Amino acid sequence: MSLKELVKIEGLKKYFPVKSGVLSRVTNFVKAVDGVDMTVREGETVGLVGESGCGKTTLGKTIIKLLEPTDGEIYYDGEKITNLSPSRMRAYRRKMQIVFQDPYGSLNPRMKVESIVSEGLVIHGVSSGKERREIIRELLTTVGLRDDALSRYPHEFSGGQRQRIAIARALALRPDFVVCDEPISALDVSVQAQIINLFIELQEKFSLTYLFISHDLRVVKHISDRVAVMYLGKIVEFAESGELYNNPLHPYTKILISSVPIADPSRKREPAVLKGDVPSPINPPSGCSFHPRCPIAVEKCSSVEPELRDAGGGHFVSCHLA
Amino acid sequence: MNNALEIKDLRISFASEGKRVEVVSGVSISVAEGKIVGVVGESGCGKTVTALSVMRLIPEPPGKIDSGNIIFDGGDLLEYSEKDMRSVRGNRISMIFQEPISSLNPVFTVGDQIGEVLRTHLKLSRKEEKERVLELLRLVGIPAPERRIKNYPHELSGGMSQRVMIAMALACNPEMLIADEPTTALDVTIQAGILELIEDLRVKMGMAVLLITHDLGIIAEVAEEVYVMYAGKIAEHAATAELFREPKHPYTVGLLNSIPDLRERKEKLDAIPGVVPSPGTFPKGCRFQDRCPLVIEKCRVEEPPLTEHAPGHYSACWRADEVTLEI
Repeated sequence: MSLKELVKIEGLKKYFPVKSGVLSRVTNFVKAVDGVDMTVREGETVGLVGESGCGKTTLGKTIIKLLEPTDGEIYYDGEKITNLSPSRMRAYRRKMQIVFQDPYGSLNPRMKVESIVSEGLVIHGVSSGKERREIIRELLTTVGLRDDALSRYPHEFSGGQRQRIAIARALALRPDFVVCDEPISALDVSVQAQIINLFIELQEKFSLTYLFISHDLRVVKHISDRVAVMYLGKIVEFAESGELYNNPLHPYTKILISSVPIADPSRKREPAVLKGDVPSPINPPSGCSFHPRCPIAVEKCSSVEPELRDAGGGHFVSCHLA
Repeated sequence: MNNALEIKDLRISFASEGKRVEVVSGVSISVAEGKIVGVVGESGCGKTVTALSVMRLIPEPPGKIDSGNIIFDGGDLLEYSEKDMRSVRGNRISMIFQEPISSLNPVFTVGDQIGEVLRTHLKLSRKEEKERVLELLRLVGIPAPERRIKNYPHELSGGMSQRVMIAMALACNPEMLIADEPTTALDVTIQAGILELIEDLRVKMGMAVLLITHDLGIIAEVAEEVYVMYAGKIAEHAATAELFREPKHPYTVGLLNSIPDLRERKEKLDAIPGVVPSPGTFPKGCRFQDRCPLVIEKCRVEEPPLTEHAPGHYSACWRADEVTLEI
């Protein structure tokens, strides 16, 4: 792994308008991503964890510009790509791909596997005819599917196999950066491990860089070099994986980690149960957005928003008390 | 200790494309009074169908309970009339489901829906009914129940809806609670709270719980005893601590080794190869044979019966005594 920054985002925001009334006037905004700074280094895996609705999927999609950012900058390999025109963006699209959560919904049921996997090659005019078919065949073998998959339809495959097809599609254009958006949550436990192993193998083989989005802290720990914890549209903690799990600084991270059930009956844990619900991202609380649920909040937390600061050795945290 | 519920040699099949496909093939599960018993397995292993059969909620046709007994309070639930069954459901045995939001009726308030259970089974005045609803909401840890009682399901978060479902299930002080993946649709932080609530209620109300899940972590945290199901059969059954320490079925070992651990980082996860066979395509002999690292010729011919290998520790594997965590 090099220290070169492949992807860098600064102050990234993505707001969705909320319309109401007969005139459908925009009355408010859902602040799904609300000012995120982050870097992903070449060849590493950054894990992104958080509860549902915290904005992690929106962040993943905005980074590769499947969604237009509301504010902030995105740099790819040193180039600013935030406001590139669609035609100039195309060259970058090849380099950034995404694998979605639901392999049942993300593959067109009317297309054969060959067409699904080759679509990107066709759009970008890479290879043709026999050569293209050879590329597809090789890809399918790489992700662990048999040759005869080419001429079959998605419904003929199990969930794990479909996710392999989705991965082959993402890799067809030889990208450098892949956003993996909950790629294993829809799979059976025994199959999840197969797909995680595949992601790791492929990373070594093609020197890929991953942004791995998941709500499963166990999986994220296993696969990531660095981990970012997201809460209500903001990164609250970002550190090297071992450091984050062994020495969490933000109270939210601590609660998240202690809530994970551990497959060891001899260990009796006292889970720190989180009070209340995730507040609405339309009107996030003042100050630190975690303060209404925080077990250690002090007065300052409700008025002053903490900055994401380096607590030493590249361990970033946004908490006044950490 | 007496059993609150005893499922004996249950067989269930579904009609599919003109054939009958067996999805549960001779499953026996007992739940002792006041205990939490876990059933763990992957999708399609028959765990949910087994749970639904206890409530007699399997749609017939296409489903059919072919044979077996479900013993509850001295009687066989499978022989109950629909009318008798109605006095058991929601009253003496309750069930909570995976998707709390879709399990609630969107056009009735929370208070109405919990009240409905009470009206069906108990004769209460309106005032008593309201009192009881508030008491239940407080019991499951819903803040400001006076306000929540007037809410509609869409106004609740996932965790809150699951608490409402649990309140509804507990309305008539059931002796038995069946929880089918009660936390799968919820975030980990909420999950911890719901599991704690179920455990807490068991202690307070002396209820027996049959907890169905795909997550061995959850089993380890709350269940005292566990059944591992694979392809419509019980693969292994033991006390939870024993099962995790000395598993005696290769499938259990596979499940245990394929979970990433929060405490130590493994280089590579030991994935179970292949996929779960779907009902109707089960191979002859042991149903795990194609994915098993210990498979021998015998496994392909003869189906291993569930036998006791140590006191209270059952496994359906010909090579159970050679199974270790490191296979």
